[in-house]
Amino acid sequence: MGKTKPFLDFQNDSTANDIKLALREGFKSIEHVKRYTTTGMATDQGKLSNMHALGIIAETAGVKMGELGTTTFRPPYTPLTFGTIVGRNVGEFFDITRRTPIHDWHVENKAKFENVGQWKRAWYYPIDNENMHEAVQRESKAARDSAGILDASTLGKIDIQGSDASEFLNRVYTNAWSKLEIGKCRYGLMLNEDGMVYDDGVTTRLSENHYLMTTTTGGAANVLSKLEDYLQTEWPELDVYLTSVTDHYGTVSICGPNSKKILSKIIPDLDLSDKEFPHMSFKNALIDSIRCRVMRISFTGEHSYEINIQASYAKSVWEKCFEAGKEFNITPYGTETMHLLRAEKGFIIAGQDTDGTMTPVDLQMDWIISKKKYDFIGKRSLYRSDTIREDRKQLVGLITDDPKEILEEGAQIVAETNKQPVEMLGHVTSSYFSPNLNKSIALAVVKNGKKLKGQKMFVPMENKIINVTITDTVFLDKENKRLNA
Amino acid sequence: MPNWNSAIKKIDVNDVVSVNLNHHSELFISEVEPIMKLNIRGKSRDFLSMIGKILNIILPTETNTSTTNKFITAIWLSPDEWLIFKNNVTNRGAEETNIEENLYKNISQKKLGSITNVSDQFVMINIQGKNLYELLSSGCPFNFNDFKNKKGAVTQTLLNHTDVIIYNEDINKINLFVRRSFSAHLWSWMNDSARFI
Repeated sequence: MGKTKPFLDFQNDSTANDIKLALREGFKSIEHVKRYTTTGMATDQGKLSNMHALGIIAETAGVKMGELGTTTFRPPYTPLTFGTIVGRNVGEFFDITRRTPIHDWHVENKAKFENVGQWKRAWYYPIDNENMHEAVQRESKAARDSAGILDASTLGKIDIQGSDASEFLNRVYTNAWSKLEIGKCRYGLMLNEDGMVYDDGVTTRLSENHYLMTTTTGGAANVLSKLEDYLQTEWPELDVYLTSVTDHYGTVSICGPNSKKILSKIIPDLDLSDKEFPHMSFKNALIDSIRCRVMRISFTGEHSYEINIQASYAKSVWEKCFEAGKEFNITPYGTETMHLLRAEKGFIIAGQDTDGTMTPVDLQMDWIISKKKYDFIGKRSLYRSDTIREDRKQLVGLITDDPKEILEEGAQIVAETNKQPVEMLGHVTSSYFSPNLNKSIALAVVKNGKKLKGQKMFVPMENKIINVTITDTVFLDKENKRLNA
Repeated sequence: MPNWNSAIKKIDVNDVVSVNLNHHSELFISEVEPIMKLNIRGKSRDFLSMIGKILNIILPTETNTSTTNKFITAIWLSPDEWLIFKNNVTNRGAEETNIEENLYKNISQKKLGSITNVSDQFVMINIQGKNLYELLSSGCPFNFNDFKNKKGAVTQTLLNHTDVIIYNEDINKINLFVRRSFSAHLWSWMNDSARFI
C-alpha cells in the first residue's frame, strides 16, 4: 500500500502527489495547478477530479476550500447518460431509414428491400417461392419484352436556376451545355479535381435559365454540397441558385416496347410521337389536373419514360400506371433488375463500375469530354502523365466460355495462371446472367483493356479457374434501335 | 370501365390528425397538411423588394429568425435563402399555383433569384405541450434555453441524426420541418422517445 499512487484524475493519470508538487513549485492559483498537472482537463471537465484537487490544495496551503475558487466549469454541469445526448439508437431506431413515396406499395406487393445509402429500395418482387435469381430473370425479360415499372424516386434531384446556369453546368460537367435546347435532356459526367469520375446523371433544360439535374442515389447529398461549395468559394461571380428537390418529386419510370401505349392511356393529350417527343427530351403534362414532368430518358436501353410528380401523388400515379399496364403484363422491377438491364447496354453505375480511380477515358467514354471548353472540374488532371498512360485499367466487357457460369463481382482477372507471382490485371465490377441474351455477362476493369478485345483471360476462383474473353461493353442492341421501338 | 382512369389521390405521409404522444405530459404531435412551401433564393435589393411587393412581407435578414404576416411566414435559412410557408392549410389548387407562378415569373424569369416549390420536399409537423423541449433534447444537440422563450426563433439542427428546421410558433408550440423521406422514421422515433419523458 505504501507505494500505491493516489490517483486523482483517472483520465489524465494525475495524482495527489502531482498537486502537492505543483504547490511546492509555486503554482497557487487553481487554474495554474490545473494546467500544470492536467488535472480536470479531460472529458469530465473537472467535475470529478477537480473537487478532490481543491481539497488537497486547501489542506496543503492551510486555507478553506471556498477561498480557492474553482476552474471554469463547462457543460454538462451535472453528469448525463449517453442516452440523454444521443437518444434511443436501438432496434428500428439504430439507423435512419428513408422511404420513397411509393414504399407502401412495394411492401404490400412483397418486395424484398435493399439498403442504398439510408434509402430502402425495392430490390426485387418475388412471386410465390421465387428466389432472387428467378425473380430478376422474370422481371428483366418482361421489361424487354413488354413493359417494366421502376420506382426511381431516390435519384438525387437538384433544381438549378440563375442567369449563369448554363455556364455553371459547363464548369461542372465534362461536356458542353450552352447549346442544349429548352425541353431537351443530356447525360453528364462529373469529375473530381483529380480527373476521376465522381457522379453522373441526366440534366434537363426546363427553361432558358432553369435546369433540373439528377444525380446518383448515393451521391445526391455530397454532390449538392460540393456544387454549393464551388459556388460559394470558387465561382461567387456566377448567378446560380441550387435547391434540393429530391424529396419533393416521386419518380415513376416505365420502360419497354409497350411503355408508349401505357403512357398514352394515362396522359392521352400528350403527343408521344418520336417527332414531337424524341428520346432525351421532356414535356410538362397534367395527370388528372396535377402538374408533372415527363422525361423520355432511358437507363435500360428501352423506350422509356420517367414521370416526376409531387411526392404525395406518386403512389397514386404508380398505381395508375400499373393498372393501365396490366393488359401489357407490366412488371414491377427492383434495383437488381435495373442493374442487369443497364449492364446489358454497358451503362456504368458510378460507384460500382468506378471506384475513384477511373477517368472518363478509362471508361471508354472519351466522347463525353469536350475539346472546346476552356475548363471544367478535373480537366487539367486528364492531361497528366499518369492519366494519359495507355496501360491504365480500362472498362471492358467479359463473356465466360461457359455461358451459364456467372462471375463473382470483385473476382480478379489474370492472363496467366502458371507464372509466379500471378499478375492481377483487373477485376470484375458487375456480373449477371442475362435472360435476354441467354448467357452470362460482366463488366470489368482490365489493365490496357481497350487493346485486349478478343483476348482470352482467366478468373481464378477458390476451386476452379474460369475462362473468359474480353469484349465490347455493350452486349445488347449496339445500334440503339430499341430506344425508338 | 377500367379504374386506371380514376383520379389520382394525394397520400399523406402520416395518416393521422393528431396524436397524444404522452398522456401524462400532454404532448401532441400532428402533421400539418397541405401547406404550401416555397424555397426562395436571391441576393439583390431588387429581389428583396420584389418579394416584399408580391408577398407583402419583409424577409428576415437576421440569422435564425422569421417574419410573418396574416397569410405566410418566412424563415431565414442562410444569407440568400428562405423557406416560406402558408400559415393555414390550403387547397392544393389554383391559389398555391398562382403564388408560385407569380413569384417564378417575377423572380426567376427576371433573373432576380430562384423560386422552387418544396411543398412535398418537407413534411411540417406541429408539436406542442409542456414537455416539448424534453422530447427534442432527447435526440438533439441544440441548446433550447434561449430558443424556447423567443417566439419566431428558428434553428436548423439534427434530431435523431436527421436534418430538421424548427420554428418556434408560440410558447411550447413548434413547427418542425423534415424531409419527406425521413419523416416516417422520425415520427416513429418521436413516438418512442416520448414514452420516456
